[in-house]
Amino acid sequence: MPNAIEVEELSKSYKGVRVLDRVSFQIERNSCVAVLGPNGAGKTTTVEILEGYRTPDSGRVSVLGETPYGAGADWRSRIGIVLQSAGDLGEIRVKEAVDFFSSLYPNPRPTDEVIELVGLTEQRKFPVRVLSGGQRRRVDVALGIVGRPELLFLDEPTTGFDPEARRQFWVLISSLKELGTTIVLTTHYLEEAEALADKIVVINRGRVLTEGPPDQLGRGPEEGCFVRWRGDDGARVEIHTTNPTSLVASAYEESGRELIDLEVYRPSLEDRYLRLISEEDR
Amino acid sequence: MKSVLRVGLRRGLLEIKEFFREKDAVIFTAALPAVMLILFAAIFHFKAPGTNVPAAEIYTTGLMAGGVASTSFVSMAVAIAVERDTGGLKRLAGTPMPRSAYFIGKVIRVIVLSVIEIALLLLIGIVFYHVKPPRTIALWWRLLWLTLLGSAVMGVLGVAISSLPRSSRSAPAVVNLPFIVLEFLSGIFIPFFMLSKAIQHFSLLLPLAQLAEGYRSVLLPPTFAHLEVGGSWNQLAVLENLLAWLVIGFVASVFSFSWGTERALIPRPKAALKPGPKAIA
Repeated sequence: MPNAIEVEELSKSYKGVRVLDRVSFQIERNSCVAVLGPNGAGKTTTVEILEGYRTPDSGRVSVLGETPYGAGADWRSRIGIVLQSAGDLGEIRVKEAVDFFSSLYPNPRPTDEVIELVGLTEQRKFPVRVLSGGQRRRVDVALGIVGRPELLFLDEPTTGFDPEARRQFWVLISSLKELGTTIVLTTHYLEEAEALADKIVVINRGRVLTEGPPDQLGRGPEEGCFVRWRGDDGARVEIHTTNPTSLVASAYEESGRELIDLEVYRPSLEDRYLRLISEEDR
Repeated sequence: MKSVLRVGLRRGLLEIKEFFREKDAVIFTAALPAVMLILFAAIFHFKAPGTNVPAAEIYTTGLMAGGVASTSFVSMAVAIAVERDTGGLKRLAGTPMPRSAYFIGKVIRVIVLSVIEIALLLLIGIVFYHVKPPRTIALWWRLLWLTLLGSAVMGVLGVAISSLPRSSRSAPAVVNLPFIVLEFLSGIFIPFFMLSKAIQHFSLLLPLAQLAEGYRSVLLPPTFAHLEVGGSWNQLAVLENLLAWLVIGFVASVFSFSWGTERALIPRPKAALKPGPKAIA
């Protein structure tokens, strides 16, 4: 089965400033890929080219087998887009908005089903204006998935969510994936990428810095781990090592009793991501 | 084609619902021309020379044209600038919605609002200023097509100018200057026959002056016609002018309109996008 997205040597400049420099990656069908990168790294430009909102200066892009920019309504009906912070729809009720957007697609999900999926059944008759930030975001998601997209773009979907709402949202995205939807996610929450993504693509300074599964990203053979405890004087000790077992054993021997607040941990995705970015920026 | 109309109609209904739920905006949008009419009628008590048509009747016809322009031109330009700013346009552009359905929705919206505005001003004129309702079916028919065509013309011009403001915050300021100038030149605030002949000739190139003349021909007695350029009401000239501006506004809209993405008319660099020899499968 061909990939859902193929990007090859994509470049783009704005007013002489190169924002994308030969970006290449693939996204398999029925997978969830997170595109990460600092602000201004070229994430949004990349995703907007995939969504057909922008044109590249050079390079090849294929999304569901077509070139996005200028692709027709048939192609548009196969993708769903949840943009960052849309502030329209103020006086429109949730159900009315979903109804209207569903009328644009050839094979939409039933309105009530979509509203149920995003957990807004109780608010379906409320105007969007009165909803909380997280609830509005769920309206955005509802409008993005009402057309049963094969491919769904989510641009920072959980910004402004409380932790519980974020967990619920992850469950929703996982269930869409199980239904066969390919998902492209941009986010600043590394734990979100870790929870949802099969693959992470890190973009920095307009280039693909690295890509890989969340648990492998930025890991090398020499990566090691951190050992942390509290010394006898109460001060915190933290040591980076590739031999944690013997380190703990010798520390125990030296101290002669249980090490207080002992932790052995490998760098989190966030640690590894930040190290990747800072190494590149050095 | 059928589905474009169907989606456009749904869009229009949604726009109208949205508009009428913002109650303060509804009241003040509708009230502005009405309040101006009441003010002008209270300030001026002259009669048009050679007739016994009082100022209040002349202002009723002028503000009907001005009212159509403000509910169409101004509100359209500002509403679109806001939709562009909030990401609403971009969201629509990401769906398979036929682009023309969006504009059909807008046209439905401005026509409904203009018809309501005209009815309100006509009612005020009839009740307070002794304006006589159109005397014949033909004149009612003229009132109808003037209102429909006039609001469509002013609406597309509003769409065209909506790309000018850099943000929704600056939109009212950007739109109001040309609008106020247009109103002065078209005899909305100062009766048209009082303007210099040079201005009158120039203004008759503009749609609002023609629309105002059309409304005068519907509501004022035939004796008033000698004050017009050429000494008579020229219905055909009104129709031709409005149709011409409809085309101009439409073309300008197509070329200037942005969905909040890259301009739609910049041709895509096809050569660079075609799969090369190493086709991507």
